[in-house]
Amino acid sequence: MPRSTYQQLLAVLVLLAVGVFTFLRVRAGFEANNITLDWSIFSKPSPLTKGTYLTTILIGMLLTIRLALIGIVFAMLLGTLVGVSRLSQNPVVSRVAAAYVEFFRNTPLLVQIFFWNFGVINVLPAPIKNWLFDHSPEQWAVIAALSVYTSSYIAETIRAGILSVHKGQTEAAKSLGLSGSDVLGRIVLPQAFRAVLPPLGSQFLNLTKNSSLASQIGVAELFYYGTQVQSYTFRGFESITAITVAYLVLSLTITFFLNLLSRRLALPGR
Amino acid sequence: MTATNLQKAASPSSAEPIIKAVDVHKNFGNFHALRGVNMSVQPGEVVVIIGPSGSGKSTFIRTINRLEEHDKGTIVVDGIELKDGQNLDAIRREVGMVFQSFNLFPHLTVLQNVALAPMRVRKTPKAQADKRALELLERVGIAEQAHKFPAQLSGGQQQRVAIARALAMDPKVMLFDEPTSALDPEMIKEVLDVMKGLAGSGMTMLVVTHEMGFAREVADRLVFFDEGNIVEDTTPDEFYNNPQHERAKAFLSKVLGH
Repeated sequence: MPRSTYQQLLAVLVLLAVGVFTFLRVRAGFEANNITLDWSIFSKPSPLTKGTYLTTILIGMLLTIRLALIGIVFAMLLGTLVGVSRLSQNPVVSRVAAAYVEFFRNTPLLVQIFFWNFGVINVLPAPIKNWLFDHSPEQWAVIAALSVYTSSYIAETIRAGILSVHKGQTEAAKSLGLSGSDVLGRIVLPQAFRAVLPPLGSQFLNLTKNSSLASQIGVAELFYYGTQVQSYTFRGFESITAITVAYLVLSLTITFFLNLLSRRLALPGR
Repeated sequence: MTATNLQKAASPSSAEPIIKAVDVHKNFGNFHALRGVNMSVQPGEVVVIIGPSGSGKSTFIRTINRLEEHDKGTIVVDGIELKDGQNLDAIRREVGMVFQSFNLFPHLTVLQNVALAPMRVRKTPKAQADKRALELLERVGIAEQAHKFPAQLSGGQQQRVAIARALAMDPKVMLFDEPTSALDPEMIKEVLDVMKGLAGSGMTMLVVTHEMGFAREVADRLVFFDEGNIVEDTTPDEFYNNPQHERAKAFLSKVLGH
């Protein structure tokens, strides 16, 4: 057998041993503390929502998806705008953009969620405020906080992407007479996005998982309902496991689509 | 200037020069890259610019489409003076540029590379821009590669696409900044052949190059740069057979000596 086959075999054996050991330890721990797992709770009717406790978890998951998708769209728009502004020739524009990044990147997201929910929303003009009160204002506060917070990281990522595009690209585009917005939008940004797609994807995942903080202002998303299920059923392990699996499914789905996108955007011959 | 050169400069036509640079200076920090360059180019002239590296030859042709801003002096291209507040895009439309490192847009196909600027800048309809792009690719001999991406082509092919891309804007002047310096030896000829064809068609060309054979065969004028200024401005034959300046002699002996 070639050497690499031995190494792979060894790795599998070590992994297997660690797995078996962990499983036995956990089971022994459960037994010692008289804990028995009962997954049937998820098929029992839920007082929280319609349907079973599983339905409750799924309803929470649906809102998490909504927060994440809207958040990602806004975070990308804002992040691209701020990232491009940071590289502006105009010193006022670039400094305002830098201040934006430093402010929102260096304060905790939970604080920002409270800031939007208890601060900003209350001082908005009456028509907007009235509209918001009919359209779950906490959700919009969370979307605002998630988008703005994540956009500060995305801005830095986009800036790095723009800087990674070779200077000759801008020169060639300019020398053809393309306008400044065409040079940016058709030549520089398409290459910058391709270069930073993996770190951008990480920001999408962070935003999705960070949405769990919405539970702290009573937004009934996945984490909120998950912990409610725990309180109602006294089934901590089962509830947390369900929450964990649900977030994993979300994250891995996003990862799947990002991989698909990166394959679609890949340039032949490179 | 030599007598031959004066004769030469007057010969093509005594029309207005298409490029007129007067006392052009450029500094990069403490480095004085251009030190009062004067040059006029008549329509249809092919001018080859040579000189040691760091002599300012690339910097000079980059000031002609304002990729570099000159600090002092005047440059007039096709009747428009290059200065702040001028519509730069209007000048850049008329001046094509070919770079040492090709600078094709890697995320666009060959055809899109060539058709993009006419569509965006001249507002040519897509069908017409594509048709014209294919004609130009035909002319540089790579129409069959139109739907490939730049990274799938050889260096020589990429440079020919870059020439087609610049020609698509129907420029009045073409600038070449060491177009063959990044190419493998066997690909240099295919690019030079395209450039020779272009010169034959009456295009006004400024070519920074080390290709002496090309200079002798195609150039109307040969300009030798040293330390930020033009020290010889003559015909290629005159330059080879009878260089005036010490630096030019030293340069020639090095270039021809191997």
